[in-house]
Amino acid sequence: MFLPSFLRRKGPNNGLEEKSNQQDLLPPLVEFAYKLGQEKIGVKINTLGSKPSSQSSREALPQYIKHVYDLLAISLGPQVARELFESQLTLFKKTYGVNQKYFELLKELPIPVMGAERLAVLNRAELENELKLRIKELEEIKANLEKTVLERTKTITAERNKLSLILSGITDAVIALDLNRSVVTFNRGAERLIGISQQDALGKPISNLIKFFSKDREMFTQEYTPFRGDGFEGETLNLEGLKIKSFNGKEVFVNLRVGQIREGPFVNLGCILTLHDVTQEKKLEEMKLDFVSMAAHELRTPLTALKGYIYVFSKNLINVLNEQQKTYLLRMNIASQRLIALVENLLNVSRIERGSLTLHLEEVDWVGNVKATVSELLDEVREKNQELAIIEPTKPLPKVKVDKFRMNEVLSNLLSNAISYTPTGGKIKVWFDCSPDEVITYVEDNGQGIPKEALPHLFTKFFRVSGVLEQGSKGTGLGLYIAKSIVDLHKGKIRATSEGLGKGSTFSFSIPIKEQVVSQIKSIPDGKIYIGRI
Amino acid sequence: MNNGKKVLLIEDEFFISDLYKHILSDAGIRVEVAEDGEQALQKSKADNIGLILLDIMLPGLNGIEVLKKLKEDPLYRTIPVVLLTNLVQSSVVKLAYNLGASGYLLKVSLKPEDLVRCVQDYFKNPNLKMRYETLDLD
Repeated sequence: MFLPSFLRRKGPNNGLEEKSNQQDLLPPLVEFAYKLGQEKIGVKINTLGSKPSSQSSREALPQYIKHVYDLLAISLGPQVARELFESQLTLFKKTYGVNQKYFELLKELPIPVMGAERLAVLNRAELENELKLRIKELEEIKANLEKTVLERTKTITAERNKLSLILSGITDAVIALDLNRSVVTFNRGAERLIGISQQDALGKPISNLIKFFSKDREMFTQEYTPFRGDGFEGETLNLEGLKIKSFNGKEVFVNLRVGQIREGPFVNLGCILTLHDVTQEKKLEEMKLDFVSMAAHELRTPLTALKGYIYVFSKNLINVLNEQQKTYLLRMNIASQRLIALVENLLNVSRIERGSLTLHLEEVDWVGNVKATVSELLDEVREKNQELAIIEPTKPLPKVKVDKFRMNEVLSNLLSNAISYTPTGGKIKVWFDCSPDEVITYVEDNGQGIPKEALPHLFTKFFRVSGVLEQGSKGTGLGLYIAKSIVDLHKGKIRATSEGLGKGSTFSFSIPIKEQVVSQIKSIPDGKIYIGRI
Repeated sequence: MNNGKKVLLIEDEFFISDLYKHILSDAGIRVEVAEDGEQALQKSKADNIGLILLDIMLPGLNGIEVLKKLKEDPLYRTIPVVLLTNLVQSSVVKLAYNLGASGYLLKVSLKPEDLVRCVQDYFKNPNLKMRYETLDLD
């Protein structure tokens, strides 16, 4: 604590008592105020002013003290300023005793220190004056407080209105729940989606308004409105394509996001649900699939005629055609066969997307089946003057249980690729491998190969190897996607390896031998019966 | 060899019906063609129909309705009916089987020699049933 220099020199018990009654305490307090001001704020603020000199008028001293006090009150807060001065006055009291001079000092000080003691030394008029001052001060504080409250209220109201405008402008449904999972916020999007007004929804348990379904199972309330108790803030749940049923039976599909804020438990806010309506998108997706399916089916009829007449034509005229004419006919046949494969692939994609691709398993002599499928593509192999070899396994393979039709689509997709991406005169090899668990079929070619960076994406829908292959590329980017989907359904694995561009590639897929639990993604959807002309 | 048996081909697409007629005739099989459901019911009254090949998408009465009428009539109930179409939902095939259809062929993947063999098989054994589980369904 700061002590005026003369006190420091002599010390409190060094014959001060005798002198004390004559001591004017104002100058030491000015000294104190000046030092304090320098120490606490002088460096920062240049408004400390010059300390009154011994020649200054007596009125200047309390004025200066008030000036410093006010500066301190502004920069450190009134509480701190008062405490600093009061501790100094207490020190004076201890040093000099509570004498006349001390009370005179208090009376002269225009700053609110030593409140109780000051009152004691005032006469009636001075008391009244003091009281008026205090009342005025209080009124000022009150007015300030009211102003602050008013401003804060305005800010809060503005925030609230802003929030409600934002909420009403959002097309997604936003629903906030309290800790009992009853509705506390229900925006316009929610009114539209659920089909109930905000008024009717507020205060109701969420489970009375909406039911959530994961696939076809109704979800528990806790499942779609999780609360985390560890002070977590942010997203707690993110689910897509959920079916919801509102209390009036309306069914929609939504993407659900749930979040919570840290202060939730203190303001009775459990979680906030945002529901994005994807019903239309789903419908559009279905329309797309329906269209693809319908178009592909319609294409089948002219293709049947095309392929059939080529057959009849070549059968009847094969003996009278010259070699060139025979080549033309062969090419027509290949082209129509490719077109058919393409249409079947389109249909397969729409089946896969719909989840209606199902398997009809039967025991199959695998090598025999592969030979039959290969023979259907021999025209193309001959046309490109390629060499196609089937290497039979040394030991006979066990019988496998597959959907023959679908598995042959896998094979013909892999073989077509091998033929397409291997130049004229190239070699294609089909061979087998067998372990106690599975039969693996390999289709190897010495063609264009696959760049390393493309390998992980080969089985993705619509993926096509770009760059070098682009010009000669014929694919739709569907064949391998379909092949993988079918192999997956059989619980097998499909793989591709290539040493790089120009080094050929090998595709393989496995078929498990053990009793398979083959998944049927979904039973065939009802109510989709095409009868009559579409 | 066919005991004078004939095939009734119910198909509205002329290109297709003429193609199959040609293929079957080449194999020595006689063919009657009906272009719609009404004609089909009329022509199935002819003698010696050994097999009916029935398209599903037909103008007027569709294939399923024709099948139903054929199987309701004691005179024709015994004639085997094989669906020959390009558009087959599993549910439709199930329905057709429940109504008494004997088999199903997908036109676009049907080889001519398989069509001929199928007809001959049914001429020999009208009670033949194709296994439903192993059909190639859409």
